Amino acid sequence: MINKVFYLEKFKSFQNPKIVWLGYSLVAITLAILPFIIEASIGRTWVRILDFALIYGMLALGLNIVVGFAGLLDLGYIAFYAVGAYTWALLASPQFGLHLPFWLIIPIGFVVAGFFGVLLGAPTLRLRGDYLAIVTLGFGEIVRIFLNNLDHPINITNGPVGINLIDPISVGGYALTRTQQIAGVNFSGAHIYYYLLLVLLLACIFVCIRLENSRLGRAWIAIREDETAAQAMGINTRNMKLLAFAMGASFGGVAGGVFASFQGFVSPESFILLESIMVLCMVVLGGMGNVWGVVLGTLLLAILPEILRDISSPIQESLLGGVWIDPESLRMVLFGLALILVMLVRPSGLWPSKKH
Amino acid sequence: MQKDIVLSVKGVTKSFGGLKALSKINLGIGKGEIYGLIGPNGAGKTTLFNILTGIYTPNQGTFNLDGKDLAGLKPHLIVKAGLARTFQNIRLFGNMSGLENVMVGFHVRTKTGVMGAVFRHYRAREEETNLRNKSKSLMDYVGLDPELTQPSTTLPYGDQRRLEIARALATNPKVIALDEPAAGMNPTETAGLRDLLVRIRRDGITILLIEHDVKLVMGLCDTVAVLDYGKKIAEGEPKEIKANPDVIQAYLGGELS
Ligand SMILES: Nc1ncnc2c1ncn2[C@@H]1O[C@H](COP(=O)(O)OP(=O)(O)O)[C@@H](O)[C@H]1O
Ligand SMILES: [Mg+2]
Repeated sequence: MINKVFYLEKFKSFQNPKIVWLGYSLVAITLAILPFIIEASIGRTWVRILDFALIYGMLALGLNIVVGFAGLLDLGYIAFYAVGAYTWALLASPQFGLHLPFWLIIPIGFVVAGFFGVLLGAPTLRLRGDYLAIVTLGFGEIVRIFLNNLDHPINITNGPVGINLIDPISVGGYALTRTQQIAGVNFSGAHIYYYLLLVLLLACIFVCIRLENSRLGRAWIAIREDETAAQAMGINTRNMKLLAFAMGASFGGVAGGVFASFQGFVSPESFILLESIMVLCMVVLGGMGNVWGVVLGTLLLAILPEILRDISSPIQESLLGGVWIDPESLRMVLFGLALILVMLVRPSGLWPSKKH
Repeated sequence: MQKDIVLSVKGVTKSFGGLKALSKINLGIGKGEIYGLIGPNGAGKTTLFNILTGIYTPNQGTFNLDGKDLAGLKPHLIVKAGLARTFQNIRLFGNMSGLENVMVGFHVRTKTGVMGAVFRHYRAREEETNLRNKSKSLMDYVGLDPELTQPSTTLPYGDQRRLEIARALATNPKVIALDEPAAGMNPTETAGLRDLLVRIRRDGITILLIEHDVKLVMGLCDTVAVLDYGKKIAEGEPKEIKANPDVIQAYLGGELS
């Protein structure tokens, strides 16, 4: 009881609506001007890196529904990203001469990827743990191999060459990848996509938090904690698992579509196993099951390797007097060491779910 | 006196490889009674629960609840029909709080889907508030503090057992099957459990009780059945069971007197 009173006293400021609103406004303003600060201080490429971090954020949040909430270890998640990306590429590029508008392709990508989620989830329903991981890994690879080989007998995906000249998202005839002048300020494509992706990511965060704190979220977590007990408490584990696969896949599908439109080009190379593992690392490192932890993990893992890329040569030069180790390899070594270190120090992630 | 049967088990048989864990079990559990199921370790009591709750399918035989045939149904449909259980080895959702565990129990009686969860429209909000309040009163009902936020596996042992009962009650069962709820409890906790079981019966829920504490069973149950090596060797009122020579011979004679 004493503890409780103390707790309330300590956090009174968090309950004052004025202070809460001030906090929200500060965060909003920071997020709004972030790309300009970044461009001015470290350059435009970093705005693009930030855009990709936001795309990874959507992927990690989707995977978190499957792995973090429902406890189903999925090693082939990138397949849904691929499905979303290719759906967009086929519906809005010269490949088939289709040029559907974005507001039609986004829902289509959402549904198609969700459908694939159910399709790949259904055969794995009886599998648990390691076996599930192996089968999903296989599914991820199958999708990539299909994309690689669907250029004959009928050419659908262009095979390893990939699909080029994909339409960007355009609003009222303005392509969002081009630099636009709005109220005298120049917004590059990377800037505009930053805002778009930010809105999408915030929507994903909102959906995840709402799902987690609902009847469905509780059912998923119950399955994660004890599948047999969950069944014995009246949860239709088959349907709930399929729902988790479908929701997770849909997030991946939307992320994939936006990625294709941003990049203007897709090929099977973007959807290798390493990418699945990367997204899984983001979820695990940040704190499986905790939405904010997952966002934090994503930002770190999407940005850290890029920082390492920039500093691995200068550091070598100053310490060893020359570039002795290929900066690209050194970067991955340092990255791996950082991951191992974090997992040793904080085994349940940087910002673990309180339910873990 | 003719009983009004709510759960009837007919000829249920289950083998694991060569081992016949249950052979041709017939039971008739009367509406509103506490029905005790006793027998030495390995007699097949838990196996029968696993069959009744759909975790195992019987090799032969059927069972029905209020006339509805349940054999072969998936566990969640059996819960929906009104048969809930607890586990001999406690199986709580470990990292969830006590209250959240009970809220999971309401899953089967609520409807909110993806749209309701994401947009929290009026009906979803109402359902959520409702089930949260009901879960809190269920925690009170079994004697637990609904405000506790610690992971449920860190609760004292006796509390975990009572939490499992609350979670099972949340599914709004006609029959609740309890697998050794007094195991590991001290005498005070056992007395509290006894009161709780009496209250549950008074509130119109039939109880099927597996229990090792013979004194508890004999004092509490309206009917008792005895299993031994997968066979039912006796069924009747506690005083008949105590006097039954087969039971005394097959099973801990000393403890019965
Ligand atoms: N899944 C299983 N596989 C093999 N044998 C089992 C299984 N479940 C129970 N048994 C066996 O069935 C018999 C009855 O076990 P059980 O129902 O747990 O007894 P009780 O609950 O009466 O102590 C035991 O011999 C046990 O070893
Ligand atoms: Mg047992």
